[in-house]
Amino acid sequence: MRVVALCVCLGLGVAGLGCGDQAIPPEPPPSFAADPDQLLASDSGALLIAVRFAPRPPALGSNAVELSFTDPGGATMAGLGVEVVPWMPAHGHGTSVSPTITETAPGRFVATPLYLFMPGSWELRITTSGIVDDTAKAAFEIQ
Amino acid sequence: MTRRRQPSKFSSRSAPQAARRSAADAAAMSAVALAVVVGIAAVPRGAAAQACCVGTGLVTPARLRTFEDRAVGMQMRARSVMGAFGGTGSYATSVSGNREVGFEEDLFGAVRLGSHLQIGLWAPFVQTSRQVGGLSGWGGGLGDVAANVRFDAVNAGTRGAWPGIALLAALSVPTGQPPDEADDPLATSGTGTGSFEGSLGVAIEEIVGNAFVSLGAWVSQRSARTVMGSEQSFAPRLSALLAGGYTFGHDATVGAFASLLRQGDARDAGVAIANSSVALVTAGAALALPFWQSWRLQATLFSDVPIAGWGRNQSVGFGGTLAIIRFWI
Repeated sequence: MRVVALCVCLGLGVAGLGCGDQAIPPEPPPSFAADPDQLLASDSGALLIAVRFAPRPPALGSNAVELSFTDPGGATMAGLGVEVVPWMPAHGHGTSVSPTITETAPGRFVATPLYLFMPGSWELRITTSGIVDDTAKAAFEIQ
Repeated sequence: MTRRRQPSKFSSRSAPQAARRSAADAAAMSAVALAVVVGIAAVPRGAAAQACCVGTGLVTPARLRTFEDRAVGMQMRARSVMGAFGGTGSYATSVSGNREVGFEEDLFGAVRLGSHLQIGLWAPFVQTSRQVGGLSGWGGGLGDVAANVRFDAVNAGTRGAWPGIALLAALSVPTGQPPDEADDPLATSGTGTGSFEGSLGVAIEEIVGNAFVSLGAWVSQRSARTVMGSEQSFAPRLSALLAGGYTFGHDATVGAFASLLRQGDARDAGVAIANSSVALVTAGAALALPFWQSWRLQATLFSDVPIAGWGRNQSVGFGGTLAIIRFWI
């Protein structure tokens, strides 16, 4: 059956029509380590961001990331809006699925799923809004 | 338009004369044929190792030999990933259970406009199968269509000791679907780069008896992409292709080739992004077999070189191509 489906897809491809087939198994909730993988300053310096990946280190396939925002003095930054875009700068593309951002505690956000489908250098491009409009990048490697 | 054709001894209506042409002529013709298939298979393409990013920088996808007026063809390509280079040049083999296989069916055609100029068109159809962790999927579609121009300032073997010299240009357009617009999590339906890309190059070919050697070099520039309001631009990509071969009876030709791809760090809002350069070295063997009087069968086997430091931000794979070409004289 799968061979038939593949043949149909090949035919559609020749006809110039894109198609795809994907099996997405259910995933357990991610768990994050206590110590961060990275500690970043935002581009303006107004925010400190603790980055924790699950799995650790991030791997090819489905991943999650937790971002904890504080001010430079270490105080929690509540009231932020956060966007996260996984990006592969070497090839100039992101992922096909935008991660869902959930605020799990004041100033703490979980982005999932991160479908990192290619090995190489990746970035998380982070944009905040609300009480601080800012940007930041977390670079990491997938092999 | 005045067209200067090659002598009619190359015409299909004069096969006896063609059969008596010199070994040098045969070598030159077969060298070109082999160079075509090598060029098709091995000209470094932008992120060509990633099936999602196929279609850029195809400088000579369908090259005509000196006596051909036009040609059409189809190439099938398969490539299996066995590892990957990280952004710092480290190499790691694929994790057990992970799998990526890319396929292409490429349609191409070329037409001659005068004795020195030819233009070509290349339409790739791309499919990718990926299995990563607990995810698996496959998808595909039309890739980035490319057009190319080749100007043969000096045809190989026609002007004494002069090597063949050609100027090359190509443009690919983002008709494919970039991975971030794919409709599946593993982006297997990503078939293009999302960018325009222009390429300029030069090719030199030398014929010595029944042997030939050719060297091509290109510089390519990809248009910027914008994400979250910030524009990412790309460094020029340098590509080189060295090929050599030998022609046997009936114009059957075998050869070997090596290609090199190198691109500097990408830039975000004018600032270089660390570890975002791209590099890859590929080597392989090629075979060209003419059959009947107006068909060619061409094939390659190739492998990227899995040596740490020889690549950056590229998957490493091996595979083959098989092309069939119908030409008219």
